[in-house]
Amino acid sequence: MPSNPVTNPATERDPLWLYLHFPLLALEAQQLEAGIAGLLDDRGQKLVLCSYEAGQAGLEPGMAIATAFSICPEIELFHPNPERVQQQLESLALWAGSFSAQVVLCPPEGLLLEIASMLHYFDGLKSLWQQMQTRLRTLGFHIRYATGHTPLAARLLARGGRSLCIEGREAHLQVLQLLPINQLELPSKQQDQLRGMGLLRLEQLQALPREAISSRFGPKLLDYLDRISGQRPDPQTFFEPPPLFQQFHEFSREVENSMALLFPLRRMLESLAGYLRRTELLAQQLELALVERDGAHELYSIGHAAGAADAETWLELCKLRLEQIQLQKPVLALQLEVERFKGQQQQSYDLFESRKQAEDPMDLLSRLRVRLGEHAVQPVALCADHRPELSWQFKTGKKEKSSSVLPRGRPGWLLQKPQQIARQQLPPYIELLAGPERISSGWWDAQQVRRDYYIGRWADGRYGWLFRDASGDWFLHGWFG
Amino acid sequence: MATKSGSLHSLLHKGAVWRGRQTADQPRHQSLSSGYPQLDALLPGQGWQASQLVELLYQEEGSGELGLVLPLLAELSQQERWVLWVDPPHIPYAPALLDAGVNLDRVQVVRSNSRRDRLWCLEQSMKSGCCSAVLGWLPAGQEKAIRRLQVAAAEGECRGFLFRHSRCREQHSAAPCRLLLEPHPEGVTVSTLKRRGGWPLPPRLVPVMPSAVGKPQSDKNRRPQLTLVGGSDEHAKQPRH
Repeated sequence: MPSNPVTNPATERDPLWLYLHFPLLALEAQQLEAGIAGLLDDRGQKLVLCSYEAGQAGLEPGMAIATAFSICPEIELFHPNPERVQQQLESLALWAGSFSAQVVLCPPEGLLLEIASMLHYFDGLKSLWQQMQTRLRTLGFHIRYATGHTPLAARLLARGGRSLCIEGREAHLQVLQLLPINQLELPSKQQDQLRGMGLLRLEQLQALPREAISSRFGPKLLDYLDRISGQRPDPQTFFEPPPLFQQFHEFSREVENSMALLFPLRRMLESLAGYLRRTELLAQQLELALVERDGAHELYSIGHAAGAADAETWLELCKLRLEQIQLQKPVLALQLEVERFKGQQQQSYDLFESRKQAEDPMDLLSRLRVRLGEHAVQPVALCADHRPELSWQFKTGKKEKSSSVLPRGRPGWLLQKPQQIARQQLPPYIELLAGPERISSGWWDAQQVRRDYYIGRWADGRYGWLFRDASGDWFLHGWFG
Repeated sequence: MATKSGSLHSLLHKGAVWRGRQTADQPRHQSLSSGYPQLDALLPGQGWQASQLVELLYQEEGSGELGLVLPLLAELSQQERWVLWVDPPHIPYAPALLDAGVNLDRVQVVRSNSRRDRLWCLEQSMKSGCCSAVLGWLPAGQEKAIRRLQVAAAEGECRGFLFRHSRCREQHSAAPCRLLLEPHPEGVTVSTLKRRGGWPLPPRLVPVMPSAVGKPQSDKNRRPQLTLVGGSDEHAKQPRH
């Protein structure tokens, strides 16, 4: 046997590839939701692809459009849109960034992932595949998949419908032996030739002397077989994520309900998660553009205070935002962009708190802000000013260092605006217990203040914070709650 | 016999049988002292319990409602989790919170636009698990909402405080602990309207007072001048009652 194949020079471990084949991608990339649907050929006369539901209803590829309609009048038909398919494949490649840093586009409808280097991270092939399967299910694409010790092995096994998830060169070679010749993706002339020789499976072809293969079928076939088995390297060009994240989805029909946008949005956000994982970034603000018929855009910003990477968090935020939107006009397309990125930081949680894992504290604030408004949630901070109404503030963003001495004996409640107290309400109704504390400040700006503050007890037993201003009027400014 | 006492034991263990003394036996790690021994004595578990909704009923702001919870908030705000104030009726005044030892970095104030949003916000934050305490101000009624909030507080292991008008005292409420606050010259009188796993106890006086007025012995240094030197104003010179 020849020496080790060199498919991936970066690693010493056994190479392992995973091929994902999306047999219905040309259709599913255009569908808004699962249902009976079919893809027409270029001339628009026959079905070339049927959705799973259409297959259940008795439709099959090759059927004339009239037949299809007579069987199933509610069928939704799509014209081929190779651009859209390529776009979708690229977003899937971004999505795959969650699982591998080395992804190869195999147009029109396949992805190849290098996973040997990821097995350790995911704690084994089985666990990696389980996680990937869960995520794939939410995307709603039909897939065929197979692992392979070479890129071609994975591809042929996947497209042959093997649903294979194994490790090791020997194990793969064994499965490959039984691969029918017609699944080798050879030119049809060559296939006929091989069948004429009575060769049905790959092992029979491999059993022939190398010289014989080379002289009968040309050196190309030999080279191909060597790349399948791994005797010859098969270098790949990996997909590079673009510097900016932008996704565009054009609907095949107009969308009038904002919640119907969630399905394509989920796919976009899954791609975003893969993108962020791959680039080690967090997204802080997304911009969602709804494109209307006249080309106008409705823009919506959705933010996350601390930055988030996973699709679920963003979907939740988008859902909150969309719930509030009443679509004025039908939407034709959806565009998602990341407005602000942020470098990833390692989150740390208290190891000794037994509390079941809560959501990220920043997630909560972001959700509240999305529903209630950007300024609805604010921290309270102390501000270095002697005037009571200025010595607190809702701070936004940066933390200010306050060097002033903390004023003592202040009430827990401060009224938004001081309330005037009628003179006859003062003693005996209000008993002054402490004061005055002269607060005189602000002569440098328009809000000059000169007040004598007292603590008073009201007849009902409550304590209030009141002051008399320069003109002798009394005001209530706070309650000792 | 052994099996019988064993099954009784298991019943007790499951909590199917309630014992009159149970409140005293409850694990203390779940409850945090309120900072006032008089109030602790009223609360089941000798303090504010985790994952629980507490209703504080009073006539008007200034009835000691903040003073009762500030020591707890001071302690909780040392944790990583938020202390959320949802639609407080006035401004929570930063100097007073700081004075009480509250870490302002963990405090967030939420302003909602409608009653529906307010309930949504309370529920979301209580069940999120990332709030150590959530303070909310609710109008009368809301029986169903309170039931949901109790579930949310338990789910998120959050201490929920609902501040309501004392006229709600006759209304049914799912909150396991309901306290009625009445201002008193020396603090606030707290009566238990309801406490889970215990009989209502007689009202107690809790010394929640402005620091400048109360606690004359312990706090001499911090106590400001009490003499009224109001000058021109005749009211200030009036003798104290």
